[in-house]
Amino acid sequence: MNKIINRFSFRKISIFVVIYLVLFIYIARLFKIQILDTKYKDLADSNAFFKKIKYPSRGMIYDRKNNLLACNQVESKLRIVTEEVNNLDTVALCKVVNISLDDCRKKLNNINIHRKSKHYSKIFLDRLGEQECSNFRKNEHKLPGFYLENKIIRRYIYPCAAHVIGYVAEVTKQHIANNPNYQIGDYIGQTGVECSYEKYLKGKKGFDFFLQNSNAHFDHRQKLKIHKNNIVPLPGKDVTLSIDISLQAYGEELIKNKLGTIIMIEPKTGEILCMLSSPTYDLSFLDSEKQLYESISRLAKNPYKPLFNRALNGIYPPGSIFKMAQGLVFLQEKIITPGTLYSCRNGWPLANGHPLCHIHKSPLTLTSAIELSCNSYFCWGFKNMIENKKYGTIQNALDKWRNFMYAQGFGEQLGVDLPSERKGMIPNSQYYDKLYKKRWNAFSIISIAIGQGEIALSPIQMCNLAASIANRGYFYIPHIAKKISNCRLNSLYLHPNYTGINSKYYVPIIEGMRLAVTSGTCNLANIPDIAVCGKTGTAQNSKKDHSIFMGFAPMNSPKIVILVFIENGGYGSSSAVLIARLMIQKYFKNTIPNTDKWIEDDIKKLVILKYATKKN
Amino acid sequence: MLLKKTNLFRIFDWSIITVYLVLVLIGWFCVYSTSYCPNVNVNSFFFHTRPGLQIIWIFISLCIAFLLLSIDRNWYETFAFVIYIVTIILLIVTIFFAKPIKGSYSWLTFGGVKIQPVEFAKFSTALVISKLISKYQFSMSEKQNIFNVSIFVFLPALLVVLQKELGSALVFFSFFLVFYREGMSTRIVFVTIFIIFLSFLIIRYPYVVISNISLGKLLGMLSIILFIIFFSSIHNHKKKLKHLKYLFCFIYVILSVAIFLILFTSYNVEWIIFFLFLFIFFYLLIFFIKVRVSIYLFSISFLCGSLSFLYLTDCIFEKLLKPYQKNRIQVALGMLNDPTGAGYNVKQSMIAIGAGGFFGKGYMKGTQTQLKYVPEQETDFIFCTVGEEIGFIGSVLVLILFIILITRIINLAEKQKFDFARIYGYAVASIIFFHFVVNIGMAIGILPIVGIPLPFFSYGGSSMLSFTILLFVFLGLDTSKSVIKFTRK
Repeated sequence: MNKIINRFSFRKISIFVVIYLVLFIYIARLFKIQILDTKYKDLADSNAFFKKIKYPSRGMIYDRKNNLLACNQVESKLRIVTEEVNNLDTVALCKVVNISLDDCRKKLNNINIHRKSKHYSKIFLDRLGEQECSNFRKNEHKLPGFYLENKIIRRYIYPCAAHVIGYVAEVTKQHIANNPNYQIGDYIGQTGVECSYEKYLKGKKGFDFFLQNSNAHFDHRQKLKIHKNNIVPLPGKDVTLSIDISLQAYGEELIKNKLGTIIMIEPKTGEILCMLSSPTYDLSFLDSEKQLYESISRLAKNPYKPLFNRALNGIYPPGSIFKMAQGLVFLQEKIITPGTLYSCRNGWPLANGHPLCHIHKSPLTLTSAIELSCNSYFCWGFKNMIENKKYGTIQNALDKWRNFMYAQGFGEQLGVDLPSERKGMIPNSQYYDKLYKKRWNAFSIISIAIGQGEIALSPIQMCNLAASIANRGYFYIPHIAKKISNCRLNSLYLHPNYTGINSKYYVPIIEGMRLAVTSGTCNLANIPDIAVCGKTGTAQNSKKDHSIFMGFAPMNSPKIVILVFIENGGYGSSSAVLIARLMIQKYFKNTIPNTDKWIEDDIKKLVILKYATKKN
Repeated sequence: MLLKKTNLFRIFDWSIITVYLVLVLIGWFCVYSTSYCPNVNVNSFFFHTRPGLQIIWIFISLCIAFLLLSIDRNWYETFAFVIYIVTIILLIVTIFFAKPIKGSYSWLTFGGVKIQPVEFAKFSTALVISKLISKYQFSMSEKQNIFNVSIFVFLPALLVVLQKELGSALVFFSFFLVFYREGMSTRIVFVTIFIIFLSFLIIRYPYVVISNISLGKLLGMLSIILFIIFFSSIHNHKKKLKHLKYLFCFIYVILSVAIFLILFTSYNVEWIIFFLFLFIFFYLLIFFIKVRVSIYLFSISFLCGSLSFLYLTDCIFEKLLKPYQKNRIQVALGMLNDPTGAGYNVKQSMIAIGAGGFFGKGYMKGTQTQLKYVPEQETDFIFCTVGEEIGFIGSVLVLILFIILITRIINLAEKQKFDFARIYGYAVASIIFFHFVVNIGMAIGILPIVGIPLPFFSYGGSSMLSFTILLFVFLGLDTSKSVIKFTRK
């Protein structure tokens, strides 16, 4: 058989090359979009599934006596979709939602009921009562275009403890950038416990998945619900706080019209019984979103800074209450013994009577130095420590001293479970080397011996000092949460922190504090049947002195530690001690005895505000 | 012994028939999957639904296929022109009597049955072309012949354009693959590829760079020069390229002057480029007059043609094409991201295919398919269902089945003793290949959207029937070859 020879048979090969090239390109393309690229799967899911978020209820907040502080409330709103409204029976509508006809017409006019553009809807009525809601549900079919919307809002029961509890607000873009679990429209705790325990309170969102076909993009009523994949929302965990709301409220009443803070801690556990900062604000402004932002901006403009939590964020020189910490360090480092005597001549004799001191007996022991709040005694002690040969250089001595101060909780955040705690300041040798170009001695830094100069502590740190004294050598990190429904508290708060100072050295200090109350600087805090130990402080600053009282009661087996700090309150004993006296009695006796009623009235009437005093 | 082998069932090419049946089967399952709707009343008559109708068409197609296998090959050669004329008349009739369906006037209705004459025009054109080229001493190398045959291709294509079915009209260009096989000059192929490349450049890069010249045009001009140099150098290896040297030198000088002017003055560069081309034109013209080699004439006509094409494409693209067609092209070239318009189809189709992954989501479980996200998913975008529900494995299987079918047809065509059968075989392979390339290419987002069905897959009686006829006529021709072979022995 003769084979047909075709001139162009070879062209078959080039045709095959083209065909296989196409096959190769197509398989490569399929490989890319089906296997390498994963975005198409997500896109298909976002097409097919309509994810309806089911919000969990936020955890409740209770105080230590199980009083409800914060809860959730359903608020019903009536939304009107003008496009779907036809033949509106205004009279029926008025009857259902229980408003007057005039009111209704006015509202409808405001809403612009005749505007029938797509997706145009407005809130017709806010805050519907339960009765009206059930009425509306019965008559829903008669009122096309009206929809009941439920929104959960956060409700705060008491008008106090704003700084402790905090508030929630809608997330901002920054929150979403930091934590992709949040979406626009979610609420997040902004300050206080609402912020620091956000992860427990928040709960977990649930989702209802709806299959939607291609038309559902335009018509949301065509949904097929599938049941198996739905995720049930997990409600947030309830948080029980250690604060006593009645104590807190009483404190806020006392400190009104004064700038300052009151902190009470249970030294045996580190639980904060009350923590208030004045001026404060009322949490009930959260009722509506619009109001919230207005209120916040108004509060932010207030010159007294009510949004500022002075208990944690305020940084002040501690003044005389720093002397206890000093005395303990000297004792531990064997610079002094409880019997060591130092002289005082209305001032520190070595530096020509600076820093000044008030008139009292001389020489004196540590106990009486604390009782009488002698400045010179601690200047002696500090100088002797800094210049002690056993440390080698002055730098080493100061750093050793600083380490003791750090161990007592100063200079760094304590780790209180509330947001934005400040560090405070305890200077080290490098700081002075830089400041004085390495040419400094005990005299140039002597003001830190009495808690002035560079020393700065936050009120919670001062209060914590009292707690470690009350416990004779250890403290629990102060914390506000007592219990988180079924979770363990952070282990940080369950173990004692030791100050590194032998408990026997606390005895003369406590004795001195007790004497200060019975016969010394703060005898106004002497309550007949409660053995209060305390110490006043007068922190000097550019304006009028800050008035400080730090104490604990009873002397043996202390139950509470208290710190009262009144900005520009004058000499220590004037206002802070009186407030402490009242607070201690309120805690132990729950009422104020009649003999002290006049003090209560006086304190409540007292006004110490910077701008008010300036005018005088 | 030999008589036994002449049994008709033995000599069919069973591999093609098997591939055909597998493709039809997968296609039907895909159509069934896309048309499945859980909400529709189950009691409604099955044969009124799309898969039901498709099964009827498949049955009809198989019956006709069986009949076609028994027809003698001479019958087609004899009646090729008659069939062609009948379909041309049908196409003309369609233009006037068709009712618009989705913007095209290509459907004729006969008592409830809708048919698309375009689908059958492909078959008849294939027959006519085979008949013409297989004429004794007919050579496709001659330009006159190419022109004559092209008329038979462009006539139905033009009629289809008048029906506003641009996609189907493009299918007729697939016959040029047959012409190439039968001896059409390679130059034409190169020039065609070059022209496609030029139009791609111009449409893809419309940004103006210098003196009113867009980047696309500039690149186009550069490629014209390169093409001429490339062409004249491969045809010039004996003459030592002496004259080309001067051309190169001149081009370098002109280019450096042009770059200097662009950088340091605001001179209109268009003139320089114009003079450059003018120079090349006269340079080649002088050589043509001197040497009289056809390559120079070709180069000259290529230069003029491509330059005028370069300037025309802009106008054609801007003014002649409808906005939606422009949109489709721009979306396919990745210039536009139009998720609601022309891009919507492609995007949804790619989502469907991409979501399938390696093994697919499982038959009847693809969300894109079942929830009807891809428009035209039972006809033009049927490949999405394969991609989503059977995944990469299924898609590659379908691709390979098609390639097996096409290569098998070509191989079989090459074995044919008679030119008519061979050319017809190539025509069948070209048409199926063109449909395959364009349809799947648009589904996976490589080519612009052109509404043509995937052979044997897409829902639709006309396409199913016409592709079956197309294929089985070739198988019938193939059988007659074998019968003759065996009887002669």
